Amino acid sequence: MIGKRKTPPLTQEQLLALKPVRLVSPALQPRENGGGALKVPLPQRRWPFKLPAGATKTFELDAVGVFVWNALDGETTVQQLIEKLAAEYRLNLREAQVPTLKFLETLMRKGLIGLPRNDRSSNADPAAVV
Amino acid sequence: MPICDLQILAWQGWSLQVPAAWNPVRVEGDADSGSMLLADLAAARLGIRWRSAGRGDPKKLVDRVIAGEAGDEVPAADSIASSNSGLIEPRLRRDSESQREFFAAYSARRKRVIEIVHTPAEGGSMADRILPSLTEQPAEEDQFWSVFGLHVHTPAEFKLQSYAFNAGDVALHFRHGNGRTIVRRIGPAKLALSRQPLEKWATTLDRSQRKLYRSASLVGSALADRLLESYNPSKDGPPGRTLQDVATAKIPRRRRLFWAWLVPKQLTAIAAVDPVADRLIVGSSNDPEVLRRLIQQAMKNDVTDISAPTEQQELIPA
Repeated sequence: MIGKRKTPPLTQEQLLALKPVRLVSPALQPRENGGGALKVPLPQRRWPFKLPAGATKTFELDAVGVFVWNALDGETTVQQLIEKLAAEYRLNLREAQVPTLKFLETLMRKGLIGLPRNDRSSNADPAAVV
Repeated sequence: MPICDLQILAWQGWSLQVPAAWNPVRVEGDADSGSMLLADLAAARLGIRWRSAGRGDPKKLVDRVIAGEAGDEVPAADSIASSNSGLIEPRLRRDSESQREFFAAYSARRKRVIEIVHTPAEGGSMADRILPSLTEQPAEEDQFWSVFGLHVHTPAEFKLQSYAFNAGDVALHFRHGNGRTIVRRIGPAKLALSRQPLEKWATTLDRSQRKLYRSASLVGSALADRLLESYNPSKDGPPGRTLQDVATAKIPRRRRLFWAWLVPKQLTAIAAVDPVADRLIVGSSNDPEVLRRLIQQAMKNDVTDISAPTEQQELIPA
């Protein structure tokens, strides 16, 4: 077969059972407004696009983002994250679900977290993320 | 199921008590016909549809609706709708294979047919816990709206023009004659106030109003005083509120629209902090008294506290 085999789409229940893991471990620098900044080291590139040594990229998170980031311990499922956020900010579950999933999607797109599928071993390499 | 896990949902004249985890994920239509889909985190749980039936025999109308549904008739349907629900000819069908339930009834108060489809998650029947709370409100009385924690009673002539359900920002836009009233519930208040001060929330109009009205001026405020006087947070809640928690503004119509008699000359806007729920309640209207009443109601977190001169009160759980 030519081409990559398609990964079957997740159902909503499977998605909620996933446990997001951080793929980077930068220190979170707190801000005055309750938010924080994540400084992520950039991977080195080849010449002529070589970056200066120690180049970093900063991601600014608001207070809710910091709360979710701190809760990403690799053991907490997406559903538990939503419930924690709803309890912390006294939100309706739906009100917590929408921003949480959007935020996780953004973090995944930026390469900061991964969502290992449950049917693979828990110590799978980062390439195994969805 | 304990009472604390339930919430009241009221929309376009009907009200229903559903588990707190069920929330609207799709809303369509108006008071004459429309639908709402409720889902929990995992899947859709309940769909409700309403449509005007016009004249005709209610029994035949309901029979026609339920005819295409699979499943066996549940004979106890008559006892499902309570006597003050305004519903007649209730019919319930249950499919023993899929456990899917279908309910239909005719609303004598609004001359429309209500249909509910329920997919039980753990074998719980809607006949036991959901349908007894279903009620139709008379069209000529105050209308109760309750969605995503925003609870208000609007005068009967108020028609919902539009709504916005964003995470942490729920808004209902009503039209009444030439007037418009908007009520918003924004949260958490601490985050909202870190973005801009309360005065700014009071004076910020939505895009449709910005082209009609000038920038607002904050007013000191008999209106705010009266709002505070009547606001009585729970006994265990925080102590009395201060004027810093409420901002009111008068927003005049743009001068170039002097000829536009359909556009109210002035809007009143109120922004208030609800410390109990950590929410910001923002509203604007051309009728200050109605606005004050709506803001008060929206700031009461417990639905049972809302006083309204309708029999709707009887439906709200104690």
